[in-house]
Amino acid sequence: MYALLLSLFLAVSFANANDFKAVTGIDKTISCGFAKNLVKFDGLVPQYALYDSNSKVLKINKCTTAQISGLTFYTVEFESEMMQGKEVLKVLSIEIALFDSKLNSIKPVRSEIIDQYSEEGDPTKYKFTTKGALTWGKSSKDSQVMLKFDITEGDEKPFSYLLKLNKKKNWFENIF
Amino acid sequence: MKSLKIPILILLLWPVSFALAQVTHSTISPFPTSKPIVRFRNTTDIWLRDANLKNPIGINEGSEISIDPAFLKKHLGTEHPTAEQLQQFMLNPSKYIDTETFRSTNGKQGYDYFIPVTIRTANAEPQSGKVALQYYSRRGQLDIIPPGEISPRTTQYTQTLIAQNSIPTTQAETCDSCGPSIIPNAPGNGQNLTDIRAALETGARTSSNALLSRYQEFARDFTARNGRVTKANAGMMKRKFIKELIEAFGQADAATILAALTGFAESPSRASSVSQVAEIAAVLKVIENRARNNYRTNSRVLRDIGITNPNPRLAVILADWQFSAWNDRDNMLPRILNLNPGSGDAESNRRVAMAFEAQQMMSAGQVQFMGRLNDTRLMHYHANYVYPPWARQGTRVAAIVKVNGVNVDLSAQRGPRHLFYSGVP
Repeated sequence: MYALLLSLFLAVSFANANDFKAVTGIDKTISCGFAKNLVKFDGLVPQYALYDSNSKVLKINKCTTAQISGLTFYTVEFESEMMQGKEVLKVLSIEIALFDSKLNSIKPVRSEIIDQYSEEGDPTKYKFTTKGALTWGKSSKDSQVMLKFDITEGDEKPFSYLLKLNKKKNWFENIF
Repeated sequence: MKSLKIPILILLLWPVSFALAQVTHSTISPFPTSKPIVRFRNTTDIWLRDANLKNPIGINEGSEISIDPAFLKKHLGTEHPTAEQLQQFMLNPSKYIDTETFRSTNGKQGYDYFIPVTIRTANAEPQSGKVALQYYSRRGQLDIIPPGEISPRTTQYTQTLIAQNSIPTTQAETCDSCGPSIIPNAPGNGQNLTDIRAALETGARTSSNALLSRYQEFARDFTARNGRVTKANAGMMKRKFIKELIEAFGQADAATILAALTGFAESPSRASSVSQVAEIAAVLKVIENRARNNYRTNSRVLRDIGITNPNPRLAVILADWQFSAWNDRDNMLPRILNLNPGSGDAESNRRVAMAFEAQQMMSAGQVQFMGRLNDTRLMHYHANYVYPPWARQGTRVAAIVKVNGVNVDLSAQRGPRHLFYSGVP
């Protein structure tokens, strides 16, 4: 009985672990610029409007592009300012956008908040303490495009979670 | 030799046993006094610093704070001041102590009164240090909690402090149809408040609120299966939590639960049950109005879990950048997700139960919003210590909520307050 339960546990663990299969070497760093909430990726004509139309970009940390399963994605990691009713928030985000070559348009397919702080209260806390990194991959079950996010808080061990591009290919949804 | 062994043994053991006694004593009772220590509770998250005002440690709202008796003895002449003496000290610190200039790293400068305290939080050893009595952004004010069991007398004493130190409203729109504003539990109203409070607390403890009971079971099970939520995993765990909540309760009841949690997280903490219900109800009213007006419903969270046609209240509560407790990296989020009857945070659990109760009372017509606060266009509030740009576009309204016949003026409460606006585009 216990052997059966153990094998079942291992089988389930193995299945979950193997649902995400990393695809390496497809990420390419590119240069990019910004104005207000628009990002201009190098080599791309249409500008990318960030998911939060009210956000004001302060600094871009990194831009990349990746091609996977016939799709072209762009990512941008940036720091922005956001008004939240009662306070000004500084926000660190990573957004993933999908470029449609037929329509010549680029739209967000995921907007991930990595960290935030408010300038109210204790000024010694005016900095981001969380980092985010993403890895491209595919589902070993149906080959759908996937992402693995690694979130690192200070010196703690990274926490990871998985996202999968939905069937309509208009958003990366959480996989639990 | 044998006759000397025992006295030598005693001599050897004596310093060890004495040291152990000292350690034990300081762990259980940080202050060497046999009389009860007057305790405070912070009404918002604050920072505990060391004697040099460095090395800040975040302390959650609602923690127990005891002021150093030696400090009280020095400035108030006694280690056990009366309520009146404490009240005078907290409201007029410049009469007793000097300011300490707190210089920040980014050039901003704040002058605060720092007091030496010991703070007791759930499941942690007491920690000593200094806290600011009044922060430069006017957050973190301390409110007195009744020592010992809550009784009509101590509740009345707490309410008297509020009544005597209520801050006058400025430029608030006059509410013609509001009627006289009564400070809850002013002398003569004690019996009324006792009945209301007893009814609220009984309601919270019994299973009369079926949805609350089912939610508490869900929350306990969620924690048992997923472990403690941390700041690092809070964003992902929030999505899992909401997805499972919707699967377990359906969107409508999930919205009711999330509304209660939002009411708990967003409302200022109040010592009086009636005032607390009023504060929570006002937040719930804003949620209700926003849902009715389809105001700000873009939600990355719902999109992330594949919900494309959400219940309006659900969309409003989880809308991007609206109710801060649901931000992925807000300090309140792990607290909400970890909260369940077994989590050890009795005060927060009590307030969540009160939030469920407030919703029931609103449905039963036991809570009424007076004058312009009843306006269906009322969809904004902000804390009294900030002034957001949109406030200039709206009209500030008098904030009086009637709870079981007792008027509560939200703008006259002591400590952090919410100010309400209608007509903001």
